[in-house]
Amino acid sequence: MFDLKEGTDANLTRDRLKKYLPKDVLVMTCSDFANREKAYWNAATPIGFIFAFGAIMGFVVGAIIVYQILFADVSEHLNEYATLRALGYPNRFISGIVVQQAMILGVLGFFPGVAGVYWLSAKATAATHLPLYITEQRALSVFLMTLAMCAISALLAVRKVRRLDPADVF
Amino acid sequence: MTVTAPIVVHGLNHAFGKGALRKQILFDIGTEIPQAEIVIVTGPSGSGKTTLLTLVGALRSTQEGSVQVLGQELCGAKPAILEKVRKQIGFIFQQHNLLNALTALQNVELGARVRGKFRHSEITERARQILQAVDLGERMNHHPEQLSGGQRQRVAIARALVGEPAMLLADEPTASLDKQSGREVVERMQSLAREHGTTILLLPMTTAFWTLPTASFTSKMDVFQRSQIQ
Ligand SMILES: Nc1ncnc2c1ncn2[C@@H]1O[C@H](COP(=O)(O)OP(=O)(O)O)[C@@H](O)[C@H]1O
Ligand SMILES: [Mg+2]
Repeated sequence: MFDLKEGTDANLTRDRLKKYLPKDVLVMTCSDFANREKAYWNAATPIGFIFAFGAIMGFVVGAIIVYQILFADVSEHLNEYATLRALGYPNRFISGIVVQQAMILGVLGFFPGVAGVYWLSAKATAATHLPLYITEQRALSVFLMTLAMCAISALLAVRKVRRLDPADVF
Repeated sequence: MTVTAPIVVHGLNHAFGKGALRKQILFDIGTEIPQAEIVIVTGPSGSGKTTLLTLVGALRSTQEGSVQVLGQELCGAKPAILEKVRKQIGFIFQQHNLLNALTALQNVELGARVRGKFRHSEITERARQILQAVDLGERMNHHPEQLSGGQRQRVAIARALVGEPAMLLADEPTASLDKQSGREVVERMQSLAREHGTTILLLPMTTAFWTLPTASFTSKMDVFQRSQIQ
């Protein structure tokens, strides 16, 4: 382990050191080492895979639940959606209403979800000694994915309205 | 482009059900209705009057034949065409079909907003005026479930009339009205036809209508005119 003087380029030093040392010696900067460790834990152990798998499952299950809720709601108000279409409102407008509802569901679900995640991640860190960080960026991307998931479910749920002739519903 | 009648129907057939359950309702219907006419469609219950009206109103896909409404062919038309035609039509449904979550005023505003030709403040003003005209000035902020059957029907009529549509299709519109309000609604339709050149297709069936002089209607069209009965 070398401590470099202030202002020294770590990458340059690493490259220079490499030239003097045999090929089977690894010379790494601090960030090289961190990346190598992350790659190892992600690729060589199932932890990374399970995390990704868990996230995808969460997305799919979430989408199915939102779809179920919206589909039940759309079915219940089929007559009213058909009335809007009969008045001449475009399909886009109808989809917009359902997507809006989905967004409200998404936002309402997200914040309790975040609170739950903070609580759980503290527990999980204590139990597994895995470093779990909830960065703002990560939270934001999860939020956007939640909204995307809700929008997809909404568009699937609204197909029923679009497929029928308004007169078939009355 | 030559000026064509707002409603031109040729060789229109319509059936419900599939396979063994298939039942043809409309047989080779053909008619041409000029602008500003008030046409009353007659025929016994179950003869397909509502079916014909929903076909003309672009609310049902045309199966066979030609239905031209306001210059657009509806048979095999794309959704955008159907939406465009629906916007120009005021449709009074057999059931009132109001939105339960909205007040009477908001329901009527929906009918004006979809026309896309009024400013925001104008929409509310028009909706108020027309609700007053059908004697619901006191009940504008009530929700449909707080209204009686007749009142709901009047809200539905107001919703159809508020946008001054190019065409009015009414499926037994005065069914739940008393004689007096039934007469007022018909008079309002007549003034629409006169002043705005609105073409009107009506299905009657109520006593309130029959008490009106037959001269109220420009012409009559029988669903059975050119068709065999099943
Ligand atoms: N959606 C439908 N599915 C199957 N049959 C229908 C449907 N709508 C109407 N019918 C049948 O078509 C016939 C004509 O109905 P309709 O047009 O409502 O008649 P009218 O308005 O003249 O009383 C009736 O026998 C009715 O049972
Ligand atoms: Mg009928």
